[in-house]
Amino acid sequence: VIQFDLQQRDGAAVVGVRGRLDMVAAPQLRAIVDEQVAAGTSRFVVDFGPTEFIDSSGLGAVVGALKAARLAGGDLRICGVAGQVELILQLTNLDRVFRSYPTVEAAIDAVGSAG
Amino acid sequence: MPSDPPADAHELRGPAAPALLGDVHGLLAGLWAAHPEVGDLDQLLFATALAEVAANVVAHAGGAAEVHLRLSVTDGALRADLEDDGAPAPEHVLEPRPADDLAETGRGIAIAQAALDELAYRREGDRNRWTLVRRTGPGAQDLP
Repeated sequence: VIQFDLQQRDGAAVVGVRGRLDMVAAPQLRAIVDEQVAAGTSRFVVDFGPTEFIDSSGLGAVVGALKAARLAGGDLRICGVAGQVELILQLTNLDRVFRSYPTVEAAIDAVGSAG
Repeated sequence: MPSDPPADAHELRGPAAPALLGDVHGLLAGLWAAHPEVGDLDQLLFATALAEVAANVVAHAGGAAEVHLRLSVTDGALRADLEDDGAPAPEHVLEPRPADDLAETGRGIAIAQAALDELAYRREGDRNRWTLVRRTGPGAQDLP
């Protein structure tokens, strides 16, 4: 039960994560990011607004995406963090690794000047 | 003749395959519907912990293993008992691993431990038994 909504906006790839990001969905997210990097994109926004639930495999995929983005000379920002996503980021201290923004637009602006 | 499970039993049986994870969320939804007194934060933390343990079983028990999960709400605690007849969990599964901010694996059990008051794993014969307890209500611990 996962859907990824991919949009190109202002030079960034915005990935909306809709549903449950778990061990089944995590490789799909990594594949999307790897394809985008191969196509020349290095700036990413992951939008957790429509995310119902994320587990450690899902977090691992987002960490992997962050590393892939930085390796390509760009960066990754997150937005729409609330509820269970916010909780698990706090539990893992990953809230100190990912820069989080309240809106997609703010995250795009921030990642646009990164790298 | 064995007695029927109580009407409020929340349990499932199924193979240790990825589809189990969706079934666990469905079972939890039924548990919360039957127990509206359980607060949102307790629900989120318990669900987060149980999802990690279930994912660990799916990853390590082997797809041929049969899982039996029972959930209960008692006075002051949420409890899950998860058993399977698959391969043992990795050695030292409950021991903390070195923290690396940019690690892509290895956070699951630590998440479960942080979200619970008790997490136990035992290998008994050819079965794995996990017990998860989160205390709720007055005196329950807040977020770590």
